[in-house]
Amino acid sequence: MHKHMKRIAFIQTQAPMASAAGIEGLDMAMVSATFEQQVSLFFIGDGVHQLRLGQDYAKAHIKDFTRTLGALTFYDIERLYLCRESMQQRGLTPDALIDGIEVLDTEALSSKLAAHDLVISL
Amino acid sequence: MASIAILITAPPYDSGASHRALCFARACVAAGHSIAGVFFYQAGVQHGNALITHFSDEPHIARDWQTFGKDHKVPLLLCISAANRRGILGETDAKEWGLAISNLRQGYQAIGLGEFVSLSETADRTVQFN
Repeated sequence: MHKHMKRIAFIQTQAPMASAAGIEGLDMAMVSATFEQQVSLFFIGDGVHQLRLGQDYAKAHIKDFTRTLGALTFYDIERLYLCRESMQQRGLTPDALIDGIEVLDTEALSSKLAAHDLVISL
Repeated sequence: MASIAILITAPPYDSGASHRALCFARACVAAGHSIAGVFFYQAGVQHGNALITHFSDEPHIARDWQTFGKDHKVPLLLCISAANRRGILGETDAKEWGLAISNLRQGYQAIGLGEFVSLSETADRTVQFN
């Protein structure tokens, strides 16, 4: 049995205040990166809501997603992608969202996902 | 022969995903592959609840995984923090939290997320059932 670094894609599909899925997804992504896996994050469907600026997470009594996502570079997690269609369907534009997330069309997103060894959906 | 890790993020009973995962696991073994481990995350940690009970004519997926784990020497691993948040604690955890009771199902172990990463790293494939 040999050990080797895997390219892992974590797909975030839930809004931050809708469930614990977003937080647990980020936990798994960060731990994977700590264990030296190559981690990418994909924000699809309601997952794009995790990227919204101007949220009052303290009032909602949940972890500050804006701050947590902003700290991902410290974990060497720099491959961040969001689904253009999901964004548009929710009436959002890139300036309403955190910086540094690459916007991808469905096709480009598909190819990007296919370039990973493992895809986990949360 | 391949070594396969299984990730289950769906709860027992409320979702049919776990049953599909077990069918998959049995098929892998029948085909000569090995299951490196089954990792339970998010609502999946409910499989490790010792208090799950069913009438004898109902399916009992948490217990079926126990049997599978024992028969094929496959570790059944719960993410400890996800489990604790959902009210599943082993004896040591319960003591640390000052609780008088614990409820970790026999055959299941509560471990850190890092262990899933290691499991996944050494397995040839990881398959998630959601």
